[in-house]
Order: sequence, then C-alpha cells, then structure tokens
Amino acid sequence: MNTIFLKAEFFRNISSRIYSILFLALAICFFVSFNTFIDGYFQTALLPLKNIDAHLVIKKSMSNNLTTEMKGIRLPFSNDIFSENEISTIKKFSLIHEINSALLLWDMDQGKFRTILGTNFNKIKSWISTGKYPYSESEIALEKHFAKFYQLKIGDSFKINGKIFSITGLIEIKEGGQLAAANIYMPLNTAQKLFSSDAINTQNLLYLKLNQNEKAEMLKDDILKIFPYLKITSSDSILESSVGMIVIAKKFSFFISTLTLLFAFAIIIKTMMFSIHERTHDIGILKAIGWTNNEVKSQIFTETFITALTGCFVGIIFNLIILYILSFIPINIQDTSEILPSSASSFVVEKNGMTLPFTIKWKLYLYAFIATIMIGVITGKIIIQKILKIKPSEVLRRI
Amino acid sequence: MNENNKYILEAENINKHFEGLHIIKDVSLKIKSGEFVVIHGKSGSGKTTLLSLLSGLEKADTGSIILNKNNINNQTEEELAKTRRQQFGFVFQSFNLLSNLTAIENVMLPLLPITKDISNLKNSSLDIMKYIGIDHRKDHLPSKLSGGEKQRVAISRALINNPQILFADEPTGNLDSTTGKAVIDLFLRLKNERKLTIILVTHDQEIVKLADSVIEIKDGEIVC
Ligand SMILES: Nc1ncnc2c1ncn2[C@@H]1O[C@H](COP(=O)(O)OP(=O)(O)OP(=O)(O)O)[C@@H](O)[C@H]1O
Ligand SMILES: [Mg+2]
Repeated sequence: MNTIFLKAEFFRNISSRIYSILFLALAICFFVSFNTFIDGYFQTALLPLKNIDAHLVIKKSMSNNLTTEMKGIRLPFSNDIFSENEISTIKKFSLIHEINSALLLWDMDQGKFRTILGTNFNKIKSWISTGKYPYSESEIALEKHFAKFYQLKIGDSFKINGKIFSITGLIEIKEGGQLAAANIYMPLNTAQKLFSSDAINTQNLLYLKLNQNEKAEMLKDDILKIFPYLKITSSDSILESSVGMIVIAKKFSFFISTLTLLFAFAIIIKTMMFSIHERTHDIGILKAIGWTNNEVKSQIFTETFITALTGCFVGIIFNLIILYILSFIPINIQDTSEILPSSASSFVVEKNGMTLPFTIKWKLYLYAFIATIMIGVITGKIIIQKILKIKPSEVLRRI
Repeated sequence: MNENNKYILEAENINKHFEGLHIIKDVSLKIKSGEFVVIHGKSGSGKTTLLSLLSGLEKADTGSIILNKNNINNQTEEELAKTRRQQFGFVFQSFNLLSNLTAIENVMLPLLPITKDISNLKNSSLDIMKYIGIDHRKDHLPSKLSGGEKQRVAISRALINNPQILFADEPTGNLDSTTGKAVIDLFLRLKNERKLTIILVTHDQEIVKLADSVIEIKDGEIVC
C-alpha cells in the first residue's frame, strides 16, 4: 500500500467511487435510522407505564355509561367502580409487588368539564412541581396548565361540587403520563367522599407493579381469565393499540434492515467490480512495470476498504442528521381505551406531543461498522481474484 | 569484455502459440550489451509478441531466455515482476501513463511499493525528468500533456530503476515525425551517455537505419 498512489487514486478519482460510497452510506443510514426509530418509538410508547412506575393499569368499562346524567360529579365512562371481590382476587396474585389505587372522577360543572384523580400513589405525588401534595380532606393540587389557564395559584381556594378546597401544590405531568392524567389531584379518600358520602372503598383505577417485569403479559392474561371485562393496559396493549404497524415493523426491523444492507452490498460489489474493470488497464501497466501481484492486491484492497469506510462514515453522518431532524417531530401515542365526552376535549390535559427519545445507538453503529468491514473484505477478496487474472501483456495489447 | 558477458540477453529456440496459432517460431537471438537493437517487420509478424517474451511480460511455450545467465523463462510470475522492476524499462506506443497520477508520480510509480524514502525517490525522479527535459511538467496530469511530453514522462519512468535494458514497442507510433525523431534522438543519447541496451520495435525504415543491429521478423520467424 502506498499513500501517494492511494491519495491520487482516491481523491483525484473520487467521482468513480462516489456511487459506491453513496450506496453504502444510504444503506447504513437506513439500517441505523430505521432501527433507532423503531426503538425510540417503542421507548416512547412505553413511557406512560414507565412514568407511573407500573407494569399494568386496570380499569373497568361501564356497561350502561351513556344513559347516566351528565351533571355534577360522576364516573368516567371507562372507569367503573371495582367490586370488593375483584380487588381482593387481584390482590391475591403473588406476582404483584405493589398495588396503588385511584379514583378517577369527572366533574361537570356549569358546562365545564374537568377530571379529578384521587390517589395516594407516591409516584404521582412525586409529580408535584411546586408546593406539596394535598393530604387533608380540604386540600387539592392542580395540574400546572390547568391552574395557569384559570390563573390559580397555591393558597387559592377552588370549588368542586359546592365544596371549597385550598390549593396546596401544582403537578407537572410527566411526558406520556396519561395513565394518571387529570386536572385536579387529591388524596384517595377525599375523592371517595366527593363521589359519594357513603361509599367506603371506591376505586376505579389500579396501578400494578410486579416482581418480574417480563411476567406482565402473563399476569394480564390470568386476570382476564377471571374477569374478562376488565380493561388492562400493559406495554403490549399500548403498542398494539397505538402503533400497530410499528409493532410489525419492529418484529421484522432487523430483518428488513439487514436485507437492505445486503441489497446495498450487492450493488456496491457490482459498482466496485465495474471500477476494477475500468482499472484493468492501470493494473496491467502496474504489473508490466514490475509491481508484484501482492503489491497490486494490497493497493487495491486498501482502496476498496477506504471506500467502504468512507461510505460507513458518511452513512453515520446522514443518520445523525436524520435523528436530529426527527427529534423535533412530535408523535402521537394515544391510549385508545379512553373515551371522553365530546365537549371535554379542550380540558383534558395535554397528553400528546411527545418527541421520540432518540439516542445514539452505539451497538447499531458497531453492527454497521462490522458490516462495512465485511463488505470491504468480501469485495476486496473478489477483486483480488480478478486482479490475479489480469495479464499485463494482454492489457497492453489493447490501446 | 570476454565472449560470455558480451551478450546481455539471449533467446534460444523460443516458441509461442496463441489459440492454436504458431506466432513465434523457434526464434534464437543474442543481444549485445549497450546496443541499439531494432526489431522490424510487418504488422502482425509477431514483433510485439517477441518483445513481450524477451522482456518477461509473456512466457514462451518452449525455449529459454537468458538474462545474465539466468533463464527468466523459468521464473514464476512474482519473480518475473521483480526482474522487470529491477532490470527492465518499458516504453509503449500509447504511453500507458496512469491518468490520475501527475507526471512525477508516474515516474516514481515502478519503485513506489518498495521505497521507504519517498523524498529521495522524488529527487531521483526529478533528476531523470531533468535529464529527459520534462521536469517543467512534473506536476501535470497526463491529460494536460502533449504526446511528445507524455512519451518523455514514460521514458523517465522507464529509467527510474536504472535498468539494464530498455524495451520500446513502437514508441514513435503515436507521435508526429518531428516529435518522433526527438524521441529517437533521446534513445540514442541514452545509449551513448548511459550505455543502455535498447530493444525497440518499429516498422519505420528511418529508425532501422540508426540501429546497431536489426532483427527482421516475418511470420514469427527471424529472416536475417
Ligand atoms: N494474446 C493473443 N491472443 C491471440 N492472438 C494473439 C495474441 N497476441 C498476439 N496474437 C496474434 O499474434 C500475431 C502477432 O501479433 P503481434 O502483436 O506480435 O504482431 P506485431 O508484429 O506487433 O503487429 P503490429 O505491428 O500490428 O503491432 C497476430 O496475428 C496476433 O493476432
Ligand atoms: Mg505490435
């Protein structure tokens, strides 16, 4: 290998290599971007569960929801009260590490609609951004945007269903926190009393944390066997309901992108072959003036390798640009099990507009790099076979 | 000089076939050191083939080619490459410069893979180019050079390894007569000043007149 020769052949003749470099760059960019995107989408889709530190969220749809009166405090359509039996049965599963319960309520107040979440769930308490989480029966916390809209602040009083509460804190809902999103937060028993003075243990949301992460789907199935009418949100159900296509893509993502890489490699081998064909004459001259086969081989091999590495490098740059752009594009991941009254949409807490958490996946770059090395070696080997066959006297005969 | 090392290159009964055709027929010849030898003959007579055999670019089917008492026709491909690099210089009709290399890089080319001290190689290349009168074009790519200039670069390249024998196949074939004559003058100068052995293929009668000895070839056989 000789640097003078390499520089001359590589840089003064970059145009003949540009296709190889671009093809490889695009293939690598696609491979890395596609896998990163899918992965990012998954992570985002799973944020709702992650941010409330639960593996399963259980609720129960109402059977006769639309007939009930749309006034005052009432249950959401999709959150009926669990029975004692349901709760005690669920609690018996040994896989469960921790259960947190909540009561989600709708308050229809003079045409205004707001959601109330009563819970003592520590994770939700930790969402307090200013002030403190309410603990007495006359205290509440408000979701930040909601408070801002009504120009309410800590210490102000707030009326719900004729009862006066004082605001002790503001809550900032974590990205993707829709599984525990509400306008107003309060301790569980405050909400229970608000709902009905004689109800003792009303709950319509259960947050389950398991001992073993990977058993979530199994537990979900087990619970559904006993109570088929329950709605259980798990990571799989979020993915299936909101990003069906992505789930399929994820299953095949490695396959698809590997196929792309292989396809690109085939093209690259072809273009490299072509460039060797173009250079047969040069190689013949080199041999005629005394270059040994080994010298020619190592020269051409190095050229091929540098071409491949350049392609890989350019591909990674492309990928970084794409990731940078994608990181600004918000995506929607919805919990489709939620049904809201049509008038309500304005005040349901902003839950969309998440952006994908794109992180640089070193592993994918490593794969791409290894693939590049392989392509370099494979094309190099094929090219070397061709080089060996070039006879200088025959090349020189052609003018 | 005794009888033995008077001859720098000898061919003994060499034969070459291509696709069943007998192209070089039992050729024997002896070339004296420091001579300007011309191989002359009609088109298709086998001049280029003979030159390729003598210079180790091609192997004879039978016979031997003795260079300094070694039969190079027995050498492997790698050994032949080394022989060409160490002992021979080549000049072709169509110049055969590498289009992506500058003039001086082309001159350095034969020795590039085996040279550690590149700046030294650069200096000796420049010296040769000065001697040949082409140093002012050293940084130009071949596409920017005239035919005569290209051939001077090619001749410089052929001399970089300080060869014993310079092989030239119709070196003036692509040049106009004035430029061609200047190139031949250059060869004569190399012979006289550097005692270089030159084996040159041509069908130009004018060049034949300048030769120390002439190998006339007809249908693959030497006729005189
Ligand atoms: N590699 C080859 N394969 C087949 N035939 C060949 C090959 N090399 C030479 N020949 C044939 O051998 C014969 C002699 O060719 P050669 O090139 O040696 O002639 P030449 O005297 O150099 O002709 P010219 O003056 O036109 O260059 C021609 O008929 C040619 O077709
Ligand atoms: Mg010829």
